[in-house]
Amino acid sequence: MAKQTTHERLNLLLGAVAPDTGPQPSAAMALAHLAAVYVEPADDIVWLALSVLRAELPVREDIVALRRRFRLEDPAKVLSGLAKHPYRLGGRVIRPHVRVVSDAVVIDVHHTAQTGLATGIQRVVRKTLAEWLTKHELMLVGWSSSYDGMRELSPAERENAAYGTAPEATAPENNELLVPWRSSYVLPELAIENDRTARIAALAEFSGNRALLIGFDCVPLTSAETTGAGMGAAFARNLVAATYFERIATISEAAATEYGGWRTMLVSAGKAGPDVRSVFLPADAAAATEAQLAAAEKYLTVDGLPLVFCVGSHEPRKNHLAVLAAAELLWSDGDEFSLAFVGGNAWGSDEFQSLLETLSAKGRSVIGVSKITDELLWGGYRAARCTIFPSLNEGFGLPVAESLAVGTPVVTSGYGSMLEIAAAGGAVLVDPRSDEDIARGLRSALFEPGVNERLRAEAAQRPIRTWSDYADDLWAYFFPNE
Amino acid sequence: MTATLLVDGTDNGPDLTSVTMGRLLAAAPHILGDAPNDALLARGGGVLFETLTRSVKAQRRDDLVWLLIVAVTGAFPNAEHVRSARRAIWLAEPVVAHLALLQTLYSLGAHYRNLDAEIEIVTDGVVVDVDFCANHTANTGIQRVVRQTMSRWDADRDIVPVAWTPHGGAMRRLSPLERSRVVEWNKYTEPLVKPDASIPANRIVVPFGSAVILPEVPQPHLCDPLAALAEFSGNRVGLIGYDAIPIVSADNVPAEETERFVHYLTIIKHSKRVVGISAASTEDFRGFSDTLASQGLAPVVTMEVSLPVDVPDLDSMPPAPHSASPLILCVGSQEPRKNQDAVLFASEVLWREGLDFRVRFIGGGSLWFTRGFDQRVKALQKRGRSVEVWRGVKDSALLGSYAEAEFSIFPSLHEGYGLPVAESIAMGVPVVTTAYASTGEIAADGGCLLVDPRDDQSIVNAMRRLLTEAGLGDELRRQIAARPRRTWDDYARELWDGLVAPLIDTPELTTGADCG
Repeated sequence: MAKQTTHERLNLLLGAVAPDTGPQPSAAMALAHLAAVYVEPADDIVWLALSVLRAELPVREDIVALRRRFRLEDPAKVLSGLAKHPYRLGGRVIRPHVRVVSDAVVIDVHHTAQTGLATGIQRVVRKTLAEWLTKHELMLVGWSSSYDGMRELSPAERENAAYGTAPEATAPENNELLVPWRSSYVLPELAIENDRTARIAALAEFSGNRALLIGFDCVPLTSAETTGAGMGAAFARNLVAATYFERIATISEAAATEYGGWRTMLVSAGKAGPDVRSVFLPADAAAATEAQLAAAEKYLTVDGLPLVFCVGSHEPRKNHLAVLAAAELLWSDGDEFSLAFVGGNAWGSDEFQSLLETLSAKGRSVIGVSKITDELLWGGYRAARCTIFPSLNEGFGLPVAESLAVGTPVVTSGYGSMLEIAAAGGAVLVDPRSDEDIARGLRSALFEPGVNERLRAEAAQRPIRTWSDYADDLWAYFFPNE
Repeated sequence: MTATLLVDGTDNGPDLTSVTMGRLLAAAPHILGDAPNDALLARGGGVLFETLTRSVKAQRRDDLVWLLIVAVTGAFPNAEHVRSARRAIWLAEPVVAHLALLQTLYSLGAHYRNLDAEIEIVTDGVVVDVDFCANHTANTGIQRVVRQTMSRWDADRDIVPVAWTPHGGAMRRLSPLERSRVVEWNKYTEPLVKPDASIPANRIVVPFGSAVILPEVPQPHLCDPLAALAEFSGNRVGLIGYDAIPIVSADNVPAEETERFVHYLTIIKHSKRVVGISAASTEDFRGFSDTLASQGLAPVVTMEVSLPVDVPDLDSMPPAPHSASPLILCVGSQEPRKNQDAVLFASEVLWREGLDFRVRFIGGGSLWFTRGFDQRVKALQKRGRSVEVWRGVKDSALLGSYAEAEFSIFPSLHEGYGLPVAESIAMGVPVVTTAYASTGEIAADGGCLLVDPRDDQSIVNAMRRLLTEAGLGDELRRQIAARPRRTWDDYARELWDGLVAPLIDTPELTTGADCG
């Protein structure tokens, strides 16, 4: 692909802002036509001029400054200044190519495309994409390494984004900037890179594209004591971008409550904020073979004791210290069961490890497995007499939904998204801030006559919600006119 | 054992034993329900400590865990300290519960080295944390509110103003100089040489069953112990809420400001009341309170007590010097959120239209912004525009500028209040300001022209009207003179009634927090 010339860039811009004019035979003529369009221009075409002529998505300050220049200076002069160096800026090589896509659904899955991780967010993104790709035409995009512009994913990245099967995928080599125009921009993952969120904010505020977001939670804002350093500031800038979005589909009512409270705060800055609605997540119930079940039982349980299964990383918000303390209250009372944690270490998990080792040394039947495999996860859910998930704050609480989906009772927090999931039956609700109440719930789910059986019967009766249901609901909320 | 086991052997001594005993004795009536009897006292500090721990274990009360930790270490714990101590006491067999507790307190005691502190427990009182104003002589936005309020409360109310021990270990009373900085602003003289004993003797103040009022935004290292105090200690915490700029306008503030603010919010979520300085800022905190249901926490009561706008005493105003070219004044720190670039732009548009006027910016700013701003000002000056930037000027220069100004302009994108608007009105000078939120609230009583700060044309139009419409400026000045009078006395009284009084008159809450 030859590098675009100034002439070609001007024609590209002209084609987008004045499609009826047609390509012009010279740069000067294209400029003349554009100059007529850019008299006191609206914000969307100011955004587009910056994007196309500078081959970089602009931030807010760029647009405000350029808007003022168009008011005070000759538009032709302003535009020709912008277009002068189509792929070079201050000695730095910028993109050789810019492509404008119109009337597209552009999905930003930058992180999901490049990771082998399969935590909550990536699972939601992949399950949704896999469904949408069978029904809709999608333009999947990621970002340049400096986060100054978007690009179409390579085929391998596209596969990894949807299925997680190509974590080594690399970006395409042509380094072409992709500029959405009169399109819909969907951000289904968490973007916390400052250069990226600043450009997303400007796109959502000025470009005229529709901007649509999946909102997972506002934990870095509402529970800063449970998140690592730097997350609060990065997430707040994500929220600044979200301010200008049209719609946020939260994964639960609890997450909608958090986003709703945040939206109230926008009034003091004279902003209305997006529409916020809960589109409730579904839960998988992956099958486990008899062999997997046996392997999980062998690996996770001790001496044939009933198994309590706890899934999730050991960050403070998950409250695993309280799980250990509650279990110890029961063990010290003579109750017999084994407790297995499956999940990685995280920020702030030292004290958990230390208590786990202390209890283990004391002869308690407790183990921690840091690497999750699907076999261990689904085998563990099925092998367990109950699972336990007394988190302090969750956007959804996937392990609660997954446990109930396979029919295993769960002990979980009596509020927020965990309560929402539990509402359809199969759970014992506890106050996660009270070790004793967690112990009470655990004892009930494990040993109280008839309770475990009743919870299992309730879990079996739960209505089934599939990823296809979720993907359809999400699409209908994002694209109500289709 | 004795309580001196708490420190490594090098710096313990008889003194330490007696002060530790003193702290345990002070806490004992709150934990045991009565002062310890002579038989118990005769058996020494170790047995007393063991007895207190047993009692806390039996009662299962978080507020008593918190108090026992403070009594043992002389330091205020963070939430992790409280949870660890609670688990240690709950899980241990009764005979070793006190040892298990000590094990969890090592880091707290060793970090703050407050083991030689005496203790003063304040029950059913009003403890007001004014740490920053006590230690600093800066006097911008928040400090002005705190000092105006504290000087009045100190005179009329029964309060215990406190600061923190070095490094944030615990609360303490103020030294005379610190007290002057807080309640006698404009009356005392800051000594050139700080007195040696500027910090009082090592004696900590421990509120228990009291109202704890935070009129400042606490410094970052105080957020964790204050959050734990709000969550566990049984004290009722109330705050003045200023704004949520570090969240809502996070793109316009340094990242560390936002980091600090989200940790500040961890105090608020366990507090009882927040009183906002404007209706808009109250909404900010109501919005945050609304999020708390998702983490199973009770909402924080929010209410508005707006800051006062003093009206000018027109007779005492200096006469305006006459100039053919009217002066437009723009006061406030220079940063993107305050939107000074829009003022520059609007001015240029109007200069090109042939209008004759001068623009003066007064205020400082961070280099990352002012460098570019100064260049833009210089470029305009080169073209003969009458624009200048004054930094670090005295109050007299500011007052003189108000006296000279035709009007002031403050089209900020986001304010918790908008002090320059109130200040301009107090000086009798009309203001062009942002239509929405707090500045719109101030403007509602008259004297302002309102604009959409994100719409340059709206700013251009308002400035043009004031420069060209005969009688408009006079009409706004008449409106200012007719504004209802509201003083700092009014504010201090309403703040007490709205923030403090409800936290005093709730005796049923003093029986302690729920236990876990």
